[in-house]
Amino acid sequence: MKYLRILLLYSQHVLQYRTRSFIWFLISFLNPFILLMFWDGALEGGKVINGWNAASMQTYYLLVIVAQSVLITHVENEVAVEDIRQGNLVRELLKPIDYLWLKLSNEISWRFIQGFYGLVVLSIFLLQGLSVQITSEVPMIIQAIIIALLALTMSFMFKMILGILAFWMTDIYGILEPNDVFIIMFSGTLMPFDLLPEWIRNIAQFTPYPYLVYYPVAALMGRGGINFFQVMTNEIFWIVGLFALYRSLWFFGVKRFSGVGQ
Amino acid sequence: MNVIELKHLTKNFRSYKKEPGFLGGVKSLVSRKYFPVPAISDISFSINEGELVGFIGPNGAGKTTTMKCLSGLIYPTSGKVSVLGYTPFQRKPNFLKQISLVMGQKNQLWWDLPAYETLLLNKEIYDISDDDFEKRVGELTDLLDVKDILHVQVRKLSLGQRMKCELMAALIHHPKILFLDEPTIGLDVVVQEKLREFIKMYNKKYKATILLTSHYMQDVKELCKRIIIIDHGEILYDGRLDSVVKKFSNEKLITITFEKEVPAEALKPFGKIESFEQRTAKIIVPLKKTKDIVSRLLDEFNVEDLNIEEPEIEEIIRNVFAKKKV
Ligand SMILES: Nc1ncnc2c1ncn2[C@@H]1O[C@H](COP(=O)(O)OP(=O)(O)OP(=O)(O)O)[C@@H](O)[C@H]1O
Ligand SMILES: [Mg+2]
Repeated sequence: MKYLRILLLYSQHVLQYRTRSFIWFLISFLNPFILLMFWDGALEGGKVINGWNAASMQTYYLLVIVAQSVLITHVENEVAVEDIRQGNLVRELLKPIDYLWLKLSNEISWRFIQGFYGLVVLSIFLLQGLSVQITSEVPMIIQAIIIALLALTMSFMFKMILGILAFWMTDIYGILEPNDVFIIMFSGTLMPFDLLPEWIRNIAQFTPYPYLVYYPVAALMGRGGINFFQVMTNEIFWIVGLFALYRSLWFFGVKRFSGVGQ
Repeated sequence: MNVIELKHLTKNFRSYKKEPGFLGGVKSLVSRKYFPVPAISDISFSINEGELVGFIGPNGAGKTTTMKCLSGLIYPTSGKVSVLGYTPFQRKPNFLKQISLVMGQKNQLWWDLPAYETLLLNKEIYDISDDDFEKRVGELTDLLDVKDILHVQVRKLSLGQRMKCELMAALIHHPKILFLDEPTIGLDVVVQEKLREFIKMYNKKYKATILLTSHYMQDVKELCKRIIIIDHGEILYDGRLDSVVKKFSNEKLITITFEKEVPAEALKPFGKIESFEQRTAKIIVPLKKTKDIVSRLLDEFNVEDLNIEEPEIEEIIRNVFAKKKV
């Protein structure tokens, strides 16, 4: 209850920035939207590439629009720049509640608004006659929801870790910017993961990236050839590992915090 | 009972040298030489429950750094810190619920929402019951006179109004220990006075222990019986304010107004000239010679007005710094 009330207060705060949030949404929306049109043309006339036809590709990108707005967290910049480098961490450290939970409450609020925009845009497309074909089996849908929730947790933990690297690095953009590129390339926002060259897939499957967007969307579409139970298990391992890594980095990193600029 | 204990606390910050220019920048990418910047070196003091202690010193003396160590924000390089029996850096929730740190330069309030929303957030974070919350908000609102501004967006408030809301947010959980780092900075005299009254009251009413830094001597004079003077990370004085005043009061301050302008040169032989504007001069003279000098002044000049008093605290503290250890 306490955490729920804190979450509500954070949401109220985040709502103050709904316009800014909408701009961010539009920027990230542009990428899948353009690709959607590209594939629409490329797969015209019943062409199929690796099991993807025009209809499933359309579904894929429409779902990516929603998935990337709900599932990809953007906490790293705030943690690294505002909290650690500019010293806002001071006020969070003084509170008798874990920093991780405060950030999570804040992040969930952002995901709610962004997800809302995502659903609005999706509805507009559906009204325009585009279609989304998701799995109709209830257990598959439940499974997809679990995969998505785990993906959200993974993305949050992963980005918290990137953020707190700022305890050690003065120029954190050296890490954050390549990471943004990797997300575009490997998370499935550029194209379905299974269309990437094999050698890239072989490397990327050992990173968190394909779990962020690709697997949740594929699960909801009920794509064949993927062992979703394995995906879930991997996600859980990732979360446990990332959590342990976060805790140990935090333990050492926070000792280096000097409260600059305060 | 000592609620705050510092033993041989030292804090060095890490800093690195960047050689100037582009090449220097490239070089620092490859090898970066870190060197320690000592902020506080081996300081010790303890504070009793209910004390209100002034912590003063020039810019960069180490006051804020000490407060950050006491409230668990930064990790001490060495030494022992104990606050209410806790080690601050562990930041146990039960410790954090009993302290508060207020920095005049920085705020915890949500900028784009009314201060009341931050109070609600703190209510949840500090587990304050509905009844207590109502009562405390009512009480603090009256004392700080913020009734009309609690529901106004924080960024629309004046500095003074914001500081009052800031204090309210910092006190809503009734901390036993309060670290006030320049709470009156940049405020006008009326608001400063109001805050001083409030701090005094909070200290009395809740037996709260308060450590206060300020560059305004009026704050220290009115609030603190005890002061700790720090400079370059070392403690120069720790004791009663009135004894340091007495110790350095082997001087008197003569304020003299002449009927006609006199050359500053003519006053030199009488003592140290503090200031000389138009026809009024302030001269510091040794205590023992005061009588003598006054009668000579009256003899030699046409005096309109003459006043003898103890030197200002600012002057005394400047003396402490000049002479280092007291
Ligand atoms: N985060 C930091 N990184 C590096 N050096 C720091 C940091 N914070 C403070 N210092 C250095 O430590 C010393 C003490 O600073 P501190 O802020 O404690 O002084 P202060 O007494 O609070 O001064 P002021 O009256 O200006 O607020 C200064 O020399 C300062 O440059
Ligand atoms: Mg300071």
